[in-house]
Amino acid sequence: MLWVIVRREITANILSFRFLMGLLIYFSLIVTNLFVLTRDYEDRLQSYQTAVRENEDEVKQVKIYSEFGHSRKLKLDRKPKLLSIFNEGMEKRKGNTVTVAHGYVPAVAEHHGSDNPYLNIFSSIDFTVIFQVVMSLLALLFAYDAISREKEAGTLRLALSGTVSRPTLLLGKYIAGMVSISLPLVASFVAGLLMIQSSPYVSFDSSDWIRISLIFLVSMLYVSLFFLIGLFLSARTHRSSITLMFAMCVWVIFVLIIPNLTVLLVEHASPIQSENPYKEQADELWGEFGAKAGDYLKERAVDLPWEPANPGGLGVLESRTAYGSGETVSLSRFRNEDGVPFVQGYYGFKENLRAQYADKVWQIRKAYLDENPNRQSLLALNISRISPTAVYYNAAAILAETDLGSFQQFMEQTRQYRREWVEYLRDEKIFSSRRWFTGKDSQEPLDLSGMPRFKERSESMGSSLQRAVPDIMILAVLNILFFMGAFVSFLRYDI
Amino acid sequence: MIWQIAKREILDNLTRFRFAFTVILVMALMVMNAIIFVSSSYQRRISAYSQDTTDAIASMKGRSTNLSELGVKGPGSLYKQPSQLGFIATGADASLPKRVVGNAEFGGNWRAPNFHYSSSNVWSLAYPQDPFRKNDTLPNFTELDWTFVIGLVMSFMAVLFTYDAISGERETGTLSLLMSHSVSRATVLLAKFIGAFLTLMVPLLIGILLNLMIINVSELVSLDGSEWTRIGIIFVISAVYISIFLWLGLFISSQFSNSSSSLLVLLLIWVVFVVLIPNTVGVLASSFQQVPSSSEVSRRKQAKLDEIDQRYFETDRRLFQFGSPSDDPPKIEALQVWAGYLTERADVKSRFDDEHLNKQFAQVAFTQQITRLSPAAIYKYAVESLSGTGFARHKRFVQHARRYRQQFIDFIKSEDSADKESYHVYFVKEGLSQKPVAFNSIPKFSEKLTLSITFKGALLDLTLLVLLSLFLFMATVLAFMRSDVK
Repeated sequence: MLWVIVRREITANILSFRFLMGLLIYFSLIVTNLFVLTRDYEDRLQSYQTAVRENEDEVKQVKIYSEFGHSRKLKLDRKPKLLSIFNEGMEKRKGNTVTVAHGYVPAVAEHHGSDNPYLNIFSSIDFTVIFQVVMSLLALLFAYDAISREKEAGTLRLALSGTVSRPTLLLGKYIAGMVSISLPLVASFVAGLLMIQSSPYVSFDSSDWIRISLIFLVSMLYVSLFFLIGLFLSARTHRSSITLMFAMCVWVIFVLIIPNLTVLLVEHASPIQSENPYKEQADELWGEFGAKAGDYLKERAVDLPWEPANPGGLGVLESRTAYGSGETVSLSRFRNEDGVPFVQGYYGFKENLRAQYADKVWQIRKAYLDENPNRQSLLALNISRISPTAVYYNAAAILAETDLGSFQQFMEQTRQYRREWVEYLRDEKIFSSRRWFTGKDSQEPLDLSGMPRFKERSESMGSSLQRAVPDIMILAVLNILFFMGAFVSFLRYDI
Repeated sequence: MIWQIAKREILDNLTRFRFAFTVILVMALMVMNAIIFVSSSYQRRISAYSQDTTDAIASMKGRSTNLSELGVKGPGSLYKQPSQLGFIATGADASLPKRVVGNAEFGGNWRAPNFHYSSSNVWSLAYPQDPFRKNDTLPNFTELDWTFVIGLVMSFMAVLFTYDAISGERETGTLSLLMSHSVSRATVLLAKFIGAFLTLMVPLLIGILLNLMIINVSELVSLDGSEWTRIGIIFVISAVYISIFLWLGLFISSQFSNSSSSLLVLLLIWVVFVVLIPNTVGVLASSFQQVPSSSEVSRRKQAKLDEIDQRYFETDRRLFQFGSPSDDPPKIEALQVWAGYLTERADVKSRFDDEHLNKQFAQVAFTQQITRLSPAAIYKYAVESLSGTGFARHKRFVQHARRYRQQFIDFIKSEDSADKESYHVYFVKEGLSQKPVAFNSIPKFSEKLTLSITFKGALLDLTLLVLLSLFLFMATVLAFMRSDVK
């Protein structure tokens, strides 16, 4: 009997005008959007490849090691995430190039490639936002009159006068509705995927496929939730126009108001503090570092570090920001060869110390970031979870590896790389080598074959899932709740 | 007759649930907007702004003890004053840079045989990305300002108020009844429009009045005559914008005999024009019109600077021929050579930075042109222009800053020419007057946002909206004339 109802409903839906319109909307939205975002991904991938090449060339030009400390810092690039085509998340807002040095622990990323920051005033829409805004609305429109309209038309009484029980009818309506929503959705999605695949820059591996299917599943869970909300409202009201109004109310509140208001509220109720006190603390540390390096010279009664080797010489480029410091030492002449070991000893001491102080400074900066922007973002995210729209977006972002957490993992990996780099410099005794400050002995490029290479490790499927599960669970539980709500309401519905 | 029908429509609308819903929603959003603006967002903006400008003035005062220092180091940071009408259209102001900077970078120490000189670079205008909103990891969100409430919510409501105006009457058969009286179709249509329009004005007016009341009661914002006029014009623009969606609703409604079909078609149009177009073409525009990346520009700039260094420093060692500018007294040739070198460097910096910014701005302007396919975007730009926020304002701010740059340089030169002891060589610090400057005589950066400037900025968009509304009005009348009443 269930199947008879399902068939009847599906036929009625497919023949209806809204099905045609729905198909049109899905198709135009999903396919055009995926097309645009694939083009965008291609651009970003190209600029990533250019950046990587340029950075490698840059490294090859280094003649003396201390250039790595200041004038030619190592740059690590983040490859654009393939699935950012489906969910943009933080992908474009956070940068994609990270600078690393033994005197600087990276905490922020800059942008490479076409990087017009003024374009940020335009908001952008991705696959997930289409679901958030448009598909949820369509799901409500498919469901709002499922019961109340049949009551108005009098067919509800007719349908229930037979052997059909109310639960069967409701379940039939749900299954049929979801099937008629998903059919065109799947069709548009497959068309979109085929179009993405035609791009020479894109090749999905098995983990991508799993992630894409999970994103699609979560999206369907979200659509189903709004369908059930529609069904629930329909079972609580007796006139379809009233149901529609309630449905619109719910939609406006969930989709428009809550996600927007939470950010504003959090920004106002829990503002981020000024960074200046932290910068001052960090500055003090660098002052301490400078004093210790000065003491080293004072104890040995030397004014300038290169004086023993080359009195009156000059050749230091130094820079200091609140959170990092570095210097390029480039000495070209040694009038007194016997003094060179002293210079080596000095830089061996100083640069080791610099790396340690950079770690200390990082602790201060980390405290600021954790207590201010990160805490604020997390708070906004948690409060916005009142709305399933935000829950859905977050789940999709985690699966697409474009959420804040995924970005932070990348930053953690760059810091891990910096530790490896510092270890390499220490193990190879590079700080106290001649080539730290002079390229005089040989014109040959530096031997960097043993240098650690950076490779971003993408998050494992398991760990992504682990982070996404709470949000997926919230969606699933809401689905069940609204289904039960619709079920109970319909059992008591006055036909 | 037309008023009778309109009255019937209004009475009918007022008793509907959708009317109550609209009133409550618009009221709530408008009140929320005003409270957030006065209690927090504007307060924080304006206090940060006054702190910043106080610091900037203090730093300028410090430099004014010596004309040459002021002339070489520049006027310091120039801040953009937050608009008092920011509650109407925030225009993503919090994510746009809050200042441009007129400072000099540090110079260098020069040593050659028998030569020593610490040079100071000459200032140039730089455009740092320094927005008010520091946290860029917050979830996506839209500001709940007037452009949101009216541009998005009210346009949606306009569609909801008209989708069944004609198709609904066709369904129930009352349309043919109405037509059987001696009323023309145009009258019916116009009456329906007036009915829906006046009904929608109720929530809009209530919302706006409450909003302005809260804004006005707070001592924080004091609106002057020009600002009230701008608010009046914004209200008119809003009314025109809403009428576009009413005519659209009536047009589609007149083409269908089934109200749910007309609703779905309208929703499709609304989604595409209000949601999709303003939000997707931004991505497209950047691939149509390429702008060199910042790193590329800074590389090219550096190459050009290196070339200048090469020319002055190594090729003919001109910089060291005539002795150091810090000799007492300096040779005039030394001053001229160094002034030439330093000014050329500053000019290159200015030229590259200005050009890069102009290209970025052109890309944004191009994107805005494409988004003008959407009436919601047109409306937003018009309102932003009148409120003195958004991209239009930022562009104007930069233009003002550039004009001020010239004004400042002229001032330094004219002050310098008044000093007999000065060598009048621009711009090297030893070549200028070493006397203090009267702080009050230094031109200060200020941006006048007059009614006529803001209105001119909005004129194109306003015209587009009016034309669109007229076009839809005529289309609807024509279509309804030829449609079937059953």
